[in-house]
Amino acid sequence: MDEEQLRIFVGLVQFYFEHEGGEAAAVGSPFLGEPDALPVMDYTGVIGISGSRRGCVYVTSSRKLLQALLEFMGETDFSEANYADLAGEIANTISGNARQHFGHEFMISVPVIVHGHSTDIRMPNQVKAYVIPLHWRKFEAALVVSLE
Amino acid sequence: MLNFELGKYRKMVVAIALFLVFDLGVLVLSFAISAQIRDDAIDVNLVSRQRMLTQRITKTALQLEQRIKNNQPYRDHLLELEQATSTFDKTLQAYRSGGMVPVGDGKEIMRNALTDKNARQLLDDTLAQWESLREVLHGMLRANPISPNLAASVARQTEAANDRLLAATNNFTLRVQELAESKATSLRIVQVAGIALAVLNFLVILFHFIPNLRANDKELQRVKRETDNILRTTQEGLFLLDPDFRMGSQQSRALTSIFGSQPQPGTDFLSMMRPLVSPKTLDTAREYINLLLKHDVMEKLVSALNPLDRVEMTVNNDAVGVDTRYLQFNFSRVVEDNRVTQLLVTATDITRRVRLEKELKDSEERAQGQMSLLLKLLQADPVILKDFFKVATEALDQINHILETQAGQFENFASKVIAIHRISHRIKGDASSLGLQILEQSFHELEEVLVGMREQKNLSGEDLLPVAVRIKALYSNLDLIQNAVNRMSQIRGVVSVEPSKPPHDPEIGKQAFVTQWRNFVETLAQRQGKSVALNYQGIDVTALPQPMRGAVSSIVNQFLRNALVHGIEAGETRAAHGKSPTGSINIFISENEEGDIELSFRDDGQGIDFNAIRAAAVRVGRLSPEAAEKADMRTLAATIFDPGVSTSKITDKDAGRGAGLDAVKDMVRRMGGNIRVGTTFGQYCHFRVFLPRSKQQHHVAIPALAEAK
Amino acid sequence: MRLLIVDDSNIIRGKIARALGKYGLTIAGLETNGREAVERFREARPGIVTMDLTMPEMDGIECIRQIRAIDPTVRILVVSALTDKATAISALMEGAQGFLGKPFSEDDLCDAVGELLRGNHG
Repeated sequence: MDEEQLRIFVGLVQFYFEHEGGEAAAVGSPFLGEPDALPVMDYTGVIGISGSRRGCVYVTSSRKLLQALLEFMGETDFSEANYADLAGEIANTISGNARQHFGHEFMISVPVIVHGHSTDIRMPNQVKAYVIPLHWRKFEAALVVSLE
Repeated sequence: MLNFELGKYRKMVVAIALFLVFDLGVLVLSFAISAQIRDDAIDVNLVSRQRMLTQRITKTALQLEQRIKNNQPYRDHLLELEQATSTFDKTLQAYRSGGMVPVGDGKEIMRNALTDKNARQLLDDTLAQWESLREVLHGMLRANPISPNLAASVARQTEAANDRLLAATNNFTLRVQELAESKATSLRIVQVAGIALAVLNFLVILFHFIPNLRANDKELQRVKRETDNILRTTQEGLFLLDPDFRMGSQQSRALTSIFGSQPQPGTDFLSMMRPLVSPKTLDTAREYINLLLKHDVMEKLVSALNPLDRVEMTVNNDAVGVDTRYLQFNFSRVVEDNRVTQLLVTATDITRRVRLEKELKDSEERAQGQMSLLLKLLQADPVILKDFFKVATEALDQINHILETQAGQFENFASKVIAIHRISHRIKGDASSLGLQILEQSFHELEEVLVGMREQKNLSGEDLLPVAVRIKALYSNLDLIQNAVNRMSQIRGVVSVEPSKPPHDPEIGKQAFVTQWRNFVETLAQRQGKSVALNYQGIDVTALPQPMRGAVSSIVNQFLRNALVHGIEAGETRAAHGKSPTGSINIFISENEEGDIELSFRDDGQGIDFNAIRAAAVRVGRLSPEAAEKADMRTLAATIFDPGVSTSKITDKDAGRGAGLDAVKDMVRRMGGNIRVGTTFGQYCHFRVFLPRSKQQHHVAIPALAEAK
Repeated sequence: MRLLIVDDSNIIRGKIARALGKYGLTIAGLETNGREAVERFREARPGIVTMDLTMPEMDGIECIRQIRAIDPTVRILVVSALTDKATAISALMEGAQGFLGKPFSEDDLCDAVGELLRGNHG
């Protein structure tokens, strides 16, 4: 069950990078992260999940990755607001597509954007989370899926 | 027979027959009446002719008198008179006592004597008048020649008689007419009565029987509607089956959803079933139906043999894609006149029932699995269990660490898979030796995934997702069991009645590990169909510090598995080679003053088959065929510790993944120890493992030393 | 009513004999194979026979055929494991009237025999 859902999320992220960034993100070796030690990079878009299973899914990216992505998209304004916007856009796209995939099974929230290595991402549960490292043009990001 | 067949229509048939009888009667009567009226009309005509004849006789007598007086020829008149006289007379005589009456053209018809008294009286009157005149006329007719006087005399007498005769004849005629009329009238009354009866009968049929029939029809329609309603609403597929396997026309609507379409009446039932069942089942079904139809068997006592009591059917379902359903066909005899004429077939969709049964069975199995897990946990020694959980958690952490270590674009997923496989196999062996089948199964599943990956080229991070998922599941399983064990150890602590022994008593630890090894050997031996005895000598393994204790336990478990699968032969094979049918394993563990451990493991099995090793090494690409041919025994012995080399042909939970000895080598290397191997093919295999207390002192791993005779 | 029990299993013969003895039938014989069963049947002429299908020497189907040839009015109950329905149906076609699957309870057996003795027709 987890595997299928993970594949859907990974597929959605890859689709986003392929579509918006010209090439798919390489998926690193997935592992399990303790809830209090999950990777958090410069910008993070968090989607809350409720319904039959509770938890959250987030994509966290390095500033450099977002910069490269903005460049690729032809953006010249590299303000803080634009980074946050892009991180939000990634999470938004993934959450929107996830709704289509999961239908009523999951209730998927509007993404929340977290800036910086804050400890504000408090996981809604104490289970180990799946961490899927992503590499896009030498830059790093990660998809984190934490479901009860 | 006729009565039986007419049944309720009998009354109606009688009524219709009566109607026909009446109609026929009226018809016959009409014929009779018209014949009678025609006959009476003849009488009336004949009698009326008498009146005309009296006039003609008088006229002819007068003409004769005139002609004779004038001497004219009178022959024709004489003949006419004679004819009129004769006709008149004959007619009267005929009505009096029956006889022929001339009707002209020389023809005569038969007349019966009159029976009516009145008419006869009148006839007699006429005759009385006529007889004297007739004599007079006859007298003239006989004379030849006729004198004018005679003619005159006859003419006078005729003239004189004419009025009276005419009157009498007239009266008679009237009477005859009267008779004819009254007869016609009464005949008509009878005819009208007949018609009236027929009409009445018709009305009876119309108003009595037709409503009855219509009521019957209505009743039949009601019954049919009821039957239709039943057939339309019943959840079961119902139809009748003829002895020639044809399906009847009365079918329940549910049959449509069961078969996907409404079968045409007359469809061959077996050809409907052909796509659903195997040819053998179809044959059996034919025989079973024949049995019910044609053989003297008890219906109730053969139902267990119904081959169509669970028919699996694959249907295309728009929502789910392909769906599997289960149908049950029951056959009941339809008995008429003590003979089985048809079978009533009931087709039921039992999918829900089958699924429920399956779920029940699965959950029973699960419950049994959990129960046996609990029993195993209760039996197992707490120290060993605790060790196992520690080792297993560490192993999972280790695996997760391997996963977590990222090498970016230089990632070598294949080597990660091999490393994870090694660790997983080791823990699986430990779980299996403790009888923790659920964990063993989880690790086995993880291994299945890993083995699949080892054969796969160009692995990506995504391919490792199932590994992460299974590791997570293992973590939570381990947690669950650990919680259960903790709870149980509390219970055990409470109920324990034996005085607790001092923790360092060597007997406990020795017993615990050795018992676990023995149990493991017994389980494996049973699975492999072998018989093996285990002997242990040496130190108390329980007393060893960690990680030494875990390592020793893991290594022995792997050696045991290896010995049971590859080393020790089946009883017959051993006997054939002059060995005892029961194999033996000797384990010796010693500890020197520095705390280094020396482990000796020897089995009296078939030893190492270097030819098999060569083949396996070539098969996994470890050595080229040429290199394998040239390789010395030392090199070959070393390969048994390489990842992916297994000589076992079957992959099951016990062996064949080629990761067991690989894991030992890995662990020994990490601990800075070494392994030596001694073997004689066909006789024994001996592993000697050295594990230093302190890793720094012995950093070099010596792969293997093979001795061969 | 006299009963002949044909089964190669000692336990099953005993079980049938006990159950149907209580039911009021007289045991006319206990035979372990088809050939002996036919001989015993010829001498004892029981009215009812319980018949296993897989037996040494002569199997149940052939045994039913021969017994029916001797007495076409005999009632035969096949008592056999339900591994092969087709074989059991063949046995019934040879002239047995009922089938009881192994394993069975005493009640199952008595019900089956009662049913068998009840009518000439289903």
